[in-house]
Amino acid sequence: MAESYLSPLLISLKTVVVATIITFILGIAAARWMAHYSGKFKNLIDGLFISPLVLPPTVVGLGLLLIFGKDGPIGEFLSLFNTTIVFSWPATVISAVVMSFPLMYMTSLGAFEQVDSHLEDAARTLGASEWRVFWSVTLPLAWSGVAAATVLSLARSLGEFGATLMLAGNIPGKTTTIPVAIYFSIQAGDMNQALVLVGVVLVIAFGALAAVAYWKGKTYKARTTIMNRERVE
Amino acid sequence: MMELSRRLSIRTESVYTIKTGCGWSLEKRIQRIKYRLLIPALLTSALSVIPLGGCSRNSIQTQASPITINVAAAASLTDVLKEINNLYTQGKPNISITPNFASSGTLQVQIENGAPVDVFISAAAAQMDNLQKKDMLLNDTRQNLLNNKLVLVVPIDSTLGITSFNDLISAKVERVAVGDPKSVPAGTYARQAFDQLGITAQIQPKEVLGSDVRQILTYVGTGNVDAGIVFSTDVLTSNKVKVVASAPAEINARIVYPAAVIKASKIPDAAKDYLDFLFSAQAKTVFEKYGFTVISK
Amino acid sequence: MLEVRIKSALPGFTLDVAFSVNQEILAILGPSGSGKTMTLRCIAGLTRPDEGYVKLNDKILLDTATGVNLPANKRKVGFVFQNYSLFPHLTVNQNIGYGIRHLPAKQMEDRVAELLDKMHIKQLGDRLPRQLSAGQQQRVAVARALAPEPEVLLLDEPFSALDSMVKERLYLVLQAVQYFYKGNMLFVTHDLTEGYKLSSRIAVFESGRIVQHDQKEKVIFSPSNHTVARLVGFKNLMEGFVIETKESTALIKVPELGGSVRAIMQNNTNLAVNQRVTIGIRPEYIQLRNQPSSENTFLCTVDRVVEGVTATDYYFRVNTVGTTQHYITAIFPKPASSSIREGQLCHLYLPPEHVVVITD
Repeated sequence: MAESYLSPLLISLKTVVVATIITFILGIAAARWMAHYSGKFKNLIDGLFISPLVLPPTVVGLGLLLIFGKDGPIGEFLSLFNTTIVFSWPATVISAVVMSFPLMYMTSLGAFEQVDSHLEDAARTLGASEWRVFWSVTLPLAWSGVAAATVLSLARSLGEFGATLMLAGNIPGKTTTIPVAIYFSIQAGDMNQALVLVGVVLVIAFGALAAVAYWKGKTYKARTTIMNRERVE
Repeated sequence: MMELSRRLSIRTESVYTIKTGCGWSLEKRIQRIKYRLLIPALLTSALSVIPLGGCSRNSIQTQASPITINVAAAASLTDVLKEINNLYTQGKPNISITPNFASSGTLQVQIENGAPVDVFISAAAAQMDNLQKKDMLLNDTRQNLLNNKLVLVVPIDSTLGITSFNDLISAKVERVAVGDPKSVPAGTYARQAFDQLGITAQIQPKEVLGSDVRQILTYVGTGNVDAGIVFSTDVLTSNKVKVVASAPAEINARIVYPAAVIKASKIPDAAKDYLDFLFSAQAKTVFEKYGFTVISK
Repeated sequence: MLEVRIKSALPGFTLDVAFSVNQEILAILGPSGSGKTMTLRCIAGLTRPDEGYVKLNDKILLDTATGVNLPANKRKVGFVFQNYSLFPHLTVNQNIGYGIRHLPAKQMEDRVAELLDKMHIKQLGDRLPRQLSAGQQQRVAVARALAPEPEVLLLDEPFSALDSMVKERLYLVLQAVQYFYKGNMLFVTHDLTEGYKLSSRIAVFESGRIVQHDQKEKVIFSPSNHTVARLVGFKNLMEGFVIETKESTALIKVPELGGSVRAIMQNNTNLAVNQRVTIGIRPEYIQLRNQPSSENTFLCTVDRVVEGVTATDYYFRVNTVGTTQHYITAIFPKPASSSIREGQLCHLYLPPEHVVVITD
């Protein structure tokens, strides 16, 4: 019986951890690129990156199915290696990444754009390559925005349902994440199971928010104490 | 008291229309509503605005007021019921039917939680039993309506050479779509079939659980699974799958579709009339056209 | 030696400048929005002009004609920003060391210590920028820019955000920098006094063009045109025409003053009779006379008096015939002028050697 609670929990944790790492890297890379890109297609690309956020998850799920499914471009390519994405655990990761990417991208981009460009210019005049400027100036100064973005995408991945159900399906022990398990429990009338799983999600979500609030409070406190220290002329 | 009511009297000259769930409009011109009339007036208008499942206390003999019958039916009945509903409403201009198709388990849960359903047709006895235990069925209206057969289907272009339920244990078969046994009758029956054949343990790791038979059909039709278990009547609606085997006869014998009127229905007479029509000769022709077997009353 | 030629279309005007800096400090003087910062940014490689050529000590940094455009991080150009732009998340030591991280640790430490010492901020090494005063931050910014030993140091209005006391101290610091930094220095300012105090040559910018580029004395005392004259503080600019020229002096009729003014030419320009010119004189050089002397003296009435700390501004109305009023501004140091009151009649004398003739 505990299996039916433990299994979705483990699967969700695995999925969320892997998806958040991937989204983190992809989101920051995309934000970095778009922050400095001023080509003709800027709006188009930006719109593309944000689209999973504004489209209904089932529409995104359908799109993913068309791409990764048996007759889709990537699906066909992968079948050469006898691999299928549809109805497999990697599909949960892919759905989670696609649905949480826009949040990571948008929020990080906003954070990067808020960094004073003169600071980045100063770094350049001091000999720093664009890479070094990003790592030593932009990213550290945008850190709180990036962290907020990460938490948002983590939460989004955790709750992802529509696209996951379409691409990964409901395979207990393999792809049944917590949200999918909750849905099917309710369908089956098993309210107890549903509520337990809901409780688990709430605990994780609030735990993450509390951690972020604590961390943010720490840095704010640190900032004000230094400001209140006496300034020596 | 007079002072109070005078203070609370409203002077309005607004004209407003209240539309009720039954679709009848009420026009009132309110000039001065005294306090004593205010509360009852508000209550009646509030109640009239809440959409109700049927019309309030109207028998179908009153031709003036339109009636909507809410029918909750198992997903496998999607196509056949649409045609039957059209037949029923022919010549009855004041009656319309709102169907809701989903897995029987889902529908049962919805009804338990107060969904405004008048007639429920389930694809298995279990869901109807659950409602009966909770005394939610109108006495004596429950009857078994249909039989169906459980079949194994594969994508129409499948080359895996599956010809029986037992073939599913082969390593060539990676994924099998079945309904979630906890809420989809076709899934429950499928499990029973596996149990009977003694292959449940080998099949379970390959199962992809669907939320209703139509979804299973889609999974098989798009080729994203190697095989699926649906009702034989479902196959008729898709040209992307083919039947390769039937479930064991003992399983098929258990498949029964009960139908009943829900106790909470606001239009029990209309509902009963509809239910009777389902057992009529006219309906039987349609059911059989779609591959169902009608159980004689 | 720094050679610069830049042409770029900007909102409102076109930037079109050409100049060079050779072992000296050049001050770029001009009002806000005249293209000064843009020029610096083009030299540093932070902005790319439409057309441009920048050569620094035999290395071509930018040549739009041939497609050469060295990225900013390879130009060895030191830049001090208007708001210092210190990295807020790094300590003073880390800020200064930012450009020399590639050096061996010991060498880097030594250099940082050396600069801290030279900038007189030795004890601030571990502080964060927000813990420093504006003056201290400025010193760190200069030290940071100098650490990688750039071939030219650019400063963009480095003192504009500071109060006068701090400014004075930092002028000294910047002057001291010259002793250990042998490269070229280019700094942008809108403050004339600052430009004069700290530079050897001045280039005056106006709407994207250089209107005068000269030794600082020439710019201040012999402005080549109206614009420069206004920018360098000539308040009394009046139109007139030449009546006669004699050796190195000229007599110019100035209708505004109702008389003629004699001017001693500083740079031997040839003036023709009847040529239209503008004369000007700094407010500080006008003198008071008790009685009218032979020339360059005009009767005026005190119109307004604005008292300053060490000197007082006087606005005189010239007593001429006619309907339009003309005014002369004079500045007299205190306390010698304390007896002058509004409405009083005075004789103002314009010393010929301080009258500037502008032909443009």
